[in-house]
Amino acid sequence: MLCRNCHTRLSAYLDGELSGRELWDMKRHLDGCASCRAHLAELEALDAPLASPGTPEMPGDLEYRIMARASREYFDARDTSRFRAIARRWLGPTATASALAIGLLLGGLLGWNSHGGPISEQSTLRTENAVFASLSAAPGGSIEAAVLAGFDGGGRL
Amino acid sequence: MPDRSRSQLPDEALLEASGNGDRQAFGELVRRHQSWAWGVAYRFIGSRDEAEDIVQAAFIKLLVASGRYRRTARFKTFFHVIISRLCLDHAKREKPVQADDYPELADSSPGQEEALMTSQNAARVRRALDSLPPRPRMAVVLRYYEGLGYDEMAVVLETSRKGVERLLSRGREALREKLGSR
Repeated sequence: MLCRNCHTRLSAYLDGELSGRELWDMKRHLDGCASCRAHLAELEALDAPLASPGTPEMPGDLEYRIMARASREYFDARDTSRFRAIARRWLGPTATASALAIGLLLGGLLGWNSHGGPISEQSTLRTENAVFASLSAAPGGSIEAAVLAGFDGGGRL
Repeated sequence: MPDRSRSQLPDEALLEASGNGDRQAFGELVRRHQSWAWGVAYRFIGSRDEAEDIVQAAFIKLLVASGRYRRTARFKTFFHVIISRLCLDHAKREKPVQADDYPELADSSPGQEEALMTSQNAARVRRALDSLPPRPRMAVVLRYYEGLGYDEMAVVLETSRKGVERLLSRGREALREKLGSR
């Protein structure tokens, strides 16, 4: 083993990461090379200064600040998001039920008159045409207007 | 879930619970790991304020990443990866930070002299660490202060064992120049 090869592997030797043939070669070289032994000693001498006390005490309220930030940036946002998802799930069927009720009411208004029974087919056709014309009149078409059009078109109750 | 049972849970289970919204599980994780996380960040960066920012950000990233965590990886290794990445990204973005000053003691009585030498030595080490490029510096911190082996360091630094050896070798040679007797 040459000295330059030895120097590149001294870190691994120091850390006990060499084994087998590499370890044997390293030990054999160090036994015969004072320069590399001195180099190794200098690396070993780093242990003392690097281990010396030098880390200031951790801030006493670090835990509190971490938890406060986690609440703001993760837990509270997550709770709000879940609430919105639940609200959408509940309002969805409710909105559908409302639309269905309006549809049934409109159908009832179109199919019957107030004087006793279903109106004539011709009258129904006029009423339907009036309703559809109102619904399709943009931007003014609305269910209210369609109901009123049903009255105007002869769909008497 | 009562606190006592959380304190007995392994880190991996606490992380999963935290990701599912369990604040107390997360609090237990913070209590267990904030000290060493602070140590890594401070030893790498050298500034209390910057180190605290890193540690806070690391715990938030831990929460956000909890959904991706797989129990095949040790929790501490997973968290080491997060902290190391934040420290290295910080080093890329920021100019070299003015490390916290170590207090010089005016009194020169015998006990104080020893404390002064300790303080001066600590400042010398700090300057030497700050002079290292980021990756060799992180390799030195993980090896000397966290005691990680080469396999774990390879995961944390996202390199090979040979890569770890090269980083440590560079770091040690540079420190030998700065801190050696010659």
